[in-house]
Amino acid sequence: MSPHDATPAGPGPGPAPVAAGAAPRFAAAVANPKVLRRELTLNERLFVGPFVKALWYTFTRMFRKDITRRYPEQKMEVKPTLHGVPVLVMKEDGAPRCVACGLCEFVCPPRAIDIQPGETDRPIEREPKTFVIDMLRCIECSYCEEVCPEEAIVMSTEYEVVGRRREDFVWDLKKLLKPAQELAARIAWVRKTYKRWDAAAEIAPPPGGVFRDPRWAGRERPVDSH
Amino acid sequence: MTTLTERIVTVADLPQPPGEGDLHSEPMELSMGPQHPATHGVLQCKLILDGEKIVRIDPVMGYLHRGKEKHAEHMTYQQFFTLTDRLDYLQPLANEVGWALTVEKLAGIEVPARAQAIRTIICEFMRLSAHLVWAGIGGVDTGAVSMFMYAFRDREALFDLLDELTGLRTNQEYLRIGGVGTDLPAELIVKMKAWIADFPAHIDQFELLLTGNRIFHQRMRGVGQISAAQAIDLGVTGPCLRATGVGVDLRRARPYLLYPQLEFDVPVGTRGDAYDRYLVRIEEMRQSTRILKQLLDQLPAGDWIAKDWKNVLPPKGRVYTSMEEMIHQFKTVTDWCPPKGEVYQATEAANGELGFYLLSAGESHPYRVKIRSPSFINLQALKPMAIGAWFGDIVAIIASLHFIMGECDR
Amino acid sequence: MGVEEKFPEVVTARLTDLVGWARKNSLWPMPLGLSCCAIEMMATVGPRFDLSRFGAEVFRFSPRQSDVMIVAGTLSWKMAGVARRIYDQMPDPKWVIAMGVCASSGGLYRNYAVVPGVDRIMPVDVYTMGCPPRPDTLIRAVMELQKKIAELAIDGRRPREPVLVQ
Repeated sequence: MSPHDATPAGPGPGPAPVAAGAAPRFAAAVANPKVLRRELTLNERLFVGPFVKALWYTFTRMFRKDITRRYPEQKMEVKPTLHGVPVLVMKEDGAPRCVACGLCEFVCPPRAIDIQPGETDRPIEREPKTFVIDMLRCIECSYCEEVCPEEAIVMSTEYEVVGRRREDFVWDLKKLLKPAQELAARIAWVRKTYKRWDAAAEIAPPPGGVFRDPRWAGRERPVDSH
Repeated sequence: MTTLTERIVTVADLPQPPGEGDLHSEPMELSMGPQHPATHGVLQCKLILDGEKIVRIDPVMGYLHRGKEKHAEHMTYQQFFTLTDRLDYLQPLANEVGWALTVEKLAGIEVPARAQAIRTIICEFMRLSAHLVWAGIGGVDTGAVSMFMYAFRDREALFDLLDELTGLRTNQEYLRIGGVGTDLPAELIVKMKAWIADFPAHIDQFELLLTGNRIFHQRMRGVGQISAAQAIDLGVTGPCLRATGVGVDLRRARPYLLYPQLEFDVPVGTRGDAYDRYLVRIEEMRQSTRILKQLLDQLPAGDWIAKDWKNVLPPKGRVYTSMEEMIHQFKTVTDWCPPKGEVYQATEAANGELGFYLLSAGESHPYRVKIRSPSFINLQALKPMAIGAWFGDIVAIIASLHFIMGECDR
Repeated sequence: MGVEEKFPEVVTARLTDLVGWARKNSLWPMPLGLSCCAIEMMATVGPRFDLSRFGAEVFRFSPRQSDVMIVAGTLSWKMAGVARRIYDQMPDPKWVIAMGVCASSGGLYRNYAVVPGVDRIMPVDVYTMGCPPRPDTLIRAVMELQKKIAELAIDGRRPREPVLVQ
C-alpha cells in the first residue's frame, strides 16, 4: 500500500466491488498492480473462435437501435448551456443594450470583436457606433458574455455558420442584434449562473431610467472616434 | 551517448553495400509524413531502412508549432485557458486544470471543495476521452477498424455529458481561476452516473475485440520495447513509463485536487512493449471509472467558484447595481495581477506529466510560460523503440506512444 | 415534344446536371487533419454523425484519389508548403473546405507561426465557423459544397452559364 492509501482523508467508500468469479485483472495485489499479461490460449491462437465471436458481436449490433442522428432533419437538442455565436441583445426600442465599454473587446482571446463607441441623445448616452464580430475568429468561448456588465452580449443557439466568402462572416450590428425574447433562455441561464456564490444578489436588468443631465440639453457633443 | 554536435546521418555514412554472403541490402531513405494517416497529426519521420529494418529514425517536428508560449506573454491569465485547451486536444479540460492549479498556486487562491471535486471529475472524464480516441485510432492503425466505431460511440456519449455541462464539445474553456465556469447540475450527475455504470461493460467489449486477438497480439507484442532504466533516462512519463514497470503516477506521487482522498490503483506493466502500453491504458480506463464512481456518489456541496472578491469576477447582479463591483469587474478582467514569483505545477495528464512553469513579474500577463508537455518528451522514446524494429512496426509504435502533436509542438 | 412525353418512364436531363449530381453525391474527402478539428472530423465520420449519408465518408489519405480537401486545423507556415503540394496533387475538379476558424482565418493565433487562413495558399470554397466546429457544422459545410458543385459547369470550375429559354 502506498502512503496515500494508508490514510484516506475523505470518507471514501470501500474498495470497488470485484465481481465474484470474474477473472483477476491483476497479477498480484500489490501497491502498483501489474496488468495481467497472459499468453494466448489455444483457442485464441487458432484464431477462428475469437474471430467468429468478434464478428458475431459486430453482427448483433446491426439489429440494435442505431445511434446515428440524421443531422439536417434531426437537429441537436438545444440546451441553455449551448455556446452558439455571440449576439447582441436588443432593447424594446430597437437599440442595442450595449454601452460600448469595450470589456468584451478586451477579453476576447482571438480579438474577434471590434467596437467603435458613439454618443446618442437617449438617456443612456453611449452606444456602439459600429460593433463588428469576425465570426471566423470567434471561438465561442463565452468570455464576452461572462464579463459583460450590461447583459448585452450573450451566446445564441445558432451554431452552424458556414459560408463561401470571408466577408459573410463579418457580422455587424444589423446582423448581430437579436430581440431579447429570442434569447430569453440563455439570458435566464446567465442570470442564474453568474450569481456565483451570492444567491442573494438579485439580477436586475440594466438601469434604463437614467435622466440626462439638463445642462446638456440641446448641445451636440462631438462623437468619439479612436 | 549522443551529443549536441551530432550530425544527421545520411545514406553515405551507413555501412556500405554488402559483401559476399551478406544479406544486407542498400540502405534506403524514406520520409513518412507529415501528412500520413498513422503519424497522429503532423509528424514527419525520416527513416533510413536497411531492407525492412529501421536503422535510423529522425522525427521532424514543428509542423504544428503555433507559438503558444510566446502568445502567453501577451494574454491575461484567464485568456490563456483558451490556448491550454488546444495543447492536447483530446483532453482539453485536463490541460485547463493544470494551468488553473499553476496560477492558483502562484496567487494563493483557495478553491472550494465542490470546485475541486468537479475539476477531478472532468480530469478523469478527459482521461477516458483521450484513452478512447487512443483505442479507436490505435485500433485502426493496427488493423482493427471496427474499434474506431465502438470507441467513438462511447466518446460521443461522453461528449454529450460535457456538452451539457460546458456548452461546447471540445475546447470547452470551462475553468476559471478560483473554480469552474458553471455548477454541475444534479440532473447531469444522474446522467453521468448512468454512463459510468454502462462503461465498464464497454471496456470489456474493447478487450473482446483486441486483447485476445491474435493479429493484434502479433502487431503489438514485443514491439517498441524499452527498459525501465531507458524510460527514466529519457524522461518518459505516463502510461508509457508505467508500462515498463515503474509505478509513478503524479496523482499519487504529488497529489493534487482530491486525489489523495480517492481509492484507485496505478496499474503497471512488466515488459514495456506496445502491448503493455495498451494493457495499462485499458486498465487506467477502468480505474478512472472507479474514481468517477466515488466522486459522483459524494460530491461535496458548496460553492463552485471561490468566494474571493479580488480574484474572481463578482456576482453579476451586483455588477449591474453597484459601482464598486463594476470596478471590481473591470479590474479583474483587465488588470488582475498575481504576485511576482515563479511556480511549477505538474498534473498527470493522459499522456504523462503535464507541467506548467510560470514566471510572473507581477503584471497582468505572464512574463514567461514554459509548458512541459508529456508528448514532446515521450517522443524521445521513439528512437530507441524504433531502431532495429521492422518497418511495419513503426505504425504500432507510434500508435502505442500516442503523442499529440498539438502538445508536442505547442 | 420531348422524349419524356413519349416514354413517361424515361427522365431526361442536361449532362451538366447529371455530372453535377454524380459529383456532389460522391465526394471523396482528403482529410488534411492538422490539429483539434481533425478529432471532430473523425467524429463526423463516426457512428453518431455518419458522413456517409452524404456519400462523403470515403476518406482518402492519398490526394490522387480525392476531390475535396478538408483542411482541419491550424496550418503553420512550416506545413503550408506541404499542404499546397497535396492540393496540387489532387486531380481536377477539386474543392477545399476550411474547417474551423484556424483554417479559415488563423483564428486564435495571430502570430509568426500560423498561416492567417488557408486561402492564402489555396482557393477555399466553404468556410466553417467554430473552434472546432461541431460535426453538425461540418456536415452543413459539406451540404453547402454540394450546393455549390451542383451550380457548376461541366468542368467543375466555372459557374454554370444561364440556360437560354426560347
